[in-house]
Amino acid sequence: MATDTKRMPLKGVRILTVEEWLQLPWATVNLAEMGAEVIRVESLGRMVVRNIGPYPDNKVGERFWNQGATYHNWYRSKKSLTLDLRTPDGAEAFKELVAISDVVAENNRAGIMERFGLTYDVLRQVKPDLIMLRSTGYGQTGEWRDYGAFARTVEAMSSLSHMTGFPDGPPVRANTSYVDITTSWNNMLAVMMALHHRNRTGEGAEIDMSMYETGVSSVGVALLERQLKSTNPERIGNQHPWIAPHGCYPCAGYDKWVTLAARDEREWRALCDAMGRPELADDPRFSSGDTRWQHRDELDALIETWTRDLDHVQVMHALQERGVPAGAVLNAREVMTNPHFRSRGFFEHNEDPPEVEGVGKRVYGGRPYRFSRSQGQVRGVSQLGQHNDYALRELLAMDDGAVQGMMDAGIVGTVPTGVDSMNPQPMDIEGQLRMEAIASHDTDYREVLGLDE
Amino acid sequence: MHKGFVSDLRIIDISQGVAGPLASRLLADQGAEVIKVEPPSGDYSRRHGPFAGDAPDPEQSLTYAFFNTSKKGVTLDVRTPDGADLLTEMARRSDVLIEDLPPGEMAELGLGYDRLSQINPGLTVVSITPFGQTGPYSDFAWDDITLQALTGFLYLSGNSDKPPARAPLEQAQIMGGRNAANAVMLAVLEREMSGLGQHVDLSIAESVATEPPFQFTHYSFLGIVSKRTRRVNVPVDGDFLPCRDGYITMASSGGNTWEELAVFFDAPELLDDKFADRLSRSNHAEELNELMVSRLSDRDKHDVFNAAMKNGFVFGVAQTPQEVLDCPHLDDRDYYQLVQHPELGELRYTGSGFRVDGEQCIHVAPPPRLGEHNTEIFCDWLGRPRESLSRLRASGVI
Repeated sequence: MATDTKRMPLKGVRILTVEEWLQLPWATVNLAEMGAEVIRVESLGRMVVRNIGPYPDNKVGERFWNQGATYHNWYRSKKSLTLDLRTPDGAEAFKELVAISDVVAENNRAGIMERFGLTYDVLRQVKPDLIMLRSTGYGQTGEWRDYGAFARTVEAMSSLSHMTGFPDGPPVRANTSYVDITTSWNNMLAVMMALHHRNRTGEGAEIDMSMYETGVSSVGVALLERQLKSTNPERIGNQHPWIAPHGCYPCAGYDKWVTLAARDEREWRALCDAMGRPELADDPRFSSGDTRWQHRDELDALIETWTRDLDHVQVMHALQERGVPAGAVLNAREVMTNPHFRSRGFFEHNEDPPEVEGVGKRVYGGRPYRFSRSQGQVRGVSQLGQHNDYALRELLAMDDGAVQGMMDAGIVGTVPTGVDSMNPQPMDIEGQLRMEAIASHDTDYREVLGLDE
Repeated sequence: MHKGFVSDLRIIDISQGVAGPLASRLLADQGAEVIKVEPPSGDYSRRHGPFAGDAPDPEQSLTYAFFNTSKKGVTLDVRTPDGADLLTEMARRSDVLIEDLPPGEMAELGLGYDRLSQINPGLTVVSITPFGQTGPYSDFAWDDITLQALTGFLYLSGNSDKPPARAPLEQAQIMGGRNAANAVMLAVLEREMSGLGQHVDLSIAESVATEPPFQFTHYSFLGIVSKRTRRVNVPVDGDFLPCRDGYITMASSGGNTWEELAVFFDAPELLDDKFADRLSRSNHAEELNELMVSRLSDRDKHDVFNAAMKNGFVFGVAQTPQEVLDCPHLDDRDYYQLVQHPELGELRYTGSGFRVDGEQCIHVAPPPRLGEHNTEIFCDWLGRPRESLSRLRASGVI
């Protein structure tokens, strides 16, 4: 992890994080890649994401907990310290680290940190200007504070799901973990604003982040509308409440689609031209924005007739050449090989050391901002307990005997407890394909991504 | 409540629509002084619905009303020399400038970062565009749905038995706006070390592309192209199932056993051998679904939800906007902020998502009317004589 942090905006900021899953871990990935030193305090006895694979080239290695793809993405760029916070020695070491950190972040269920005796009031005694971020599904207070949460449940609670999907079907999810990720960005924002405030005033803060409240803030316009109108907005698929055409249309090939919208006369005429149907522009059904919207189902059927046998990327370019907003629906492979994203250097390589079996060089998505003087970077992926020595000996100056004692007591380590009863499996790729749970399995991905170069 | 984490920052925002205005709004929520600069014809969101009434009205666009709270508003045509001069004056006295003009246009107007940074070395300029300042798509025409499409987000939205389903309410731009606010804070924190501002190239598309949490690593690690969720999943794997009054989603057993689930739903049929383990449940998913639906169809979704959550399951309700407005838990948390809107009356606005030191910490004041603060900003702040405003108005600059 020999990264040059010289030009990273958050260099010098140290964050201790007690985190699982995604809504906080993705925030700390982003903070770490902009220069913060993020030390993830892990439990040897309870690990979630390190266990869920899938594994590199679908091969499960001996130390599988250091190998997983999901683990690599969500926990990249952070340091790993194992510490059993239920033990007095573990909690004490944590407090000593807090004294030399700027931020403590955690996304355990409400009450867990209290059980460890590691509350804001306690930690503030060792670090008076501490910033503590506590990020949960429903917040630290209120009737639902003890309720568990996953992105999909909170997305549903926020009413986003009610408005996503087709009128003749159930609510559906917007991508995979939308509220986790929006909460991660909100976590990042809250921490950085609190750091700015602390730098200016010397005051710390306790931040009580709620996924539910973050999710609801993403549908604020619909809530204003509901207060002024007598009905709830409903699911309308890919149509638009007042623009037509606006949709997602099938193209040639398996699960290929193109999106487009024509929002004014110019775009509408250009679309008719691209379709080779200039006469439609003056068809009375489609001659104004209002009539196009009234006849939007007919319009969608006409557009579908045109796109159905065409390549999705070619349709996009034919429309873009005429100034019509269009975007091919790209899958992961298509995004990763797309000339635009590649030309901007959006994807980054990161190479694991040889002792992590089978991972080596892999490609990761980068960050959406480029700075003229600063930079960000993927900063390696830590093995379990890789930074035990760094944290305990270098940062806390513990002696060999003390560290050995903690290892003997199972408070720190590099191998999960109960590893023999864990049973990690390769992905049943054939079965997943049969059930159409995945779109495809490419055998040439190493070549496509240049992993062996 | 304190004045807000960023009450010392002054931000000039000439962006329109959703992404840029959300970025500056997130900072205004926490106390930043935001001066919104609109073209004399107004932010284009004023011409977009939904509208409070039946007819379009620039002061009644709810998109405008939501994303522009707590800002001061001026009108200024930055494409005129006088307009560019006034904007330069504002940038001289500010910490951050947010802009969303097509790549290169700021420089053509004499407002490029190089020039502005000579006038104010501490200034950060955040340029927000759909595809970034560079690259073959940087001049692409776009709409929220095309941004969701080109980033892999849309391909994974919805169920696999249907076309991809877009996320509503301009979510791609919301993702761009959240990341733009983070870019502002990264530059602000860096300035505390260097004393210097910088130029930031923020791509909305890249913001959206970072959202799907598996797509790139699943491909990079084993060549898997992920797909949308299967329509029929095994219960407690997240399917939306209908209750009497709407849908619930059962995401996780939360550590409860299958037997405990059978007891909870009073469904001993679940203990049949064909549902004994994950694989067999998956093989009998349709049958399992029908059984669950039969247990849910006469129950109220919130009753199932509350009972399940108190038993440790992790379920969710597909709430309607009205139910979100009526939510008792959000009341407990003082979530909604009451705003007296001069045009729209009293409205409840959503909070920021976080409380600080035990309180909702957010500053929400009504959005500015078109040109509401012209005199205050141009005369009182920048020192232009009041007489000059009528000349600027006559020549269409403000």
